[in-house]
Amino acid sequence: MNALNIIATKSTPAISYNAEHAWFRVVGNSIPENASAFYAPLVNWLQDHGDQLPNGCAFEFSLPYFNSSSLKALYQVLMQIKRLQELGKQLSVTWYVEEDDDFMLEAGETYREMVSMDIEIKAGHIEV
Amino acid sequence: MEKNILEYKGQLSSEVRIQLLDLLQCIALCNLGPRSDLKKLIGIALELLDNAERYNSSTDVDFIWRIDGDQLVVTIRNKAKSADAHRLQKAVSRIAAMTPEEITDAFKRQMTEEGYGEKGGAGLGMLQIARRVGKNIRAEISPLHTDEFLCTSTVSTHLPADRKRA
Repeated sequence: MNALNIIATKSTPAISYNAEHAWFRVVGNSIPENASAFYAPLVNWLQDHGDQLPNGCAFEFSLPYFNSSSLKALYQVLMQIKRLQELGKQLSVTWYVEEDDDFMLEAGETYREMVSMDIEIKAGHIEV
Repeated sequence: MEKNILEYKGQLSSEVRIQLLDLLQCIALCNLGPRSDLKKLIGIALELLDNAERYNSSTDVDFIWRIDGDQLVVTIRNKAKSADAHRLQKAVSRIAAMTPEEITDAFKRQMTEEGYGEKGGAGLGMLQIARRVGKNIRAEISPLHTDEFLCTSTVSTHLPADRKRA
């Protein structure tokens, strides 16, 4: 399976798949001018290789800031994960919220409702 | 009591936008103290800066983050081509005519649509702001040349005391 590792910049998060530990992490600020272009490799990777992910793979999102363009792009990422779950893959999704942060909490709850997916909202943040 | 806590006049690039975000985080924390809605408040500025960068017909903006009593007021001014200026005004007028439920429905509809604008916009920025501040969004446009307008977007939001953290 092709690896997917994108290094973080000041305006875009790191995207990293760790096959050994079976986690997929999106970590860092997501405020690109064109979020669709930035997240396209991840959406394409999930379309092309998602069926090779091991059962139990954990998708983890820890995004201190993101713009509305990213909100839409991440929705498309989550829809890909949901598609894989519907094909029988056992994948979990965790949305990290820093303590007492309405912004991230609201986003996690919005995704949970809109994607109709079991998204665990967890306090704290993670590093890649 | 009214005070400008950040005023920036000058070029707006991706790099400047990132620096302004860093500054806002620092300045907001100093002036408003720890609050659970701090990121939401900064997020409003971020969306306005995004819009201004995306639809600016020059490179410059005027950006003001101001506290006016118990209100936070964010103003951004930039030049835009006629079509973009009128699109902004139309979007704000449309939101002004919506109920909160209609704003939420429009937000959800826009999020699930596949396409993006030709400049990479999701069409969600103003709806996202409206979800946070209701109808306290104004957009004024005034002609500069045949095909260029000066756009002024102003968003005001109440600063509830119960969002302050100990």
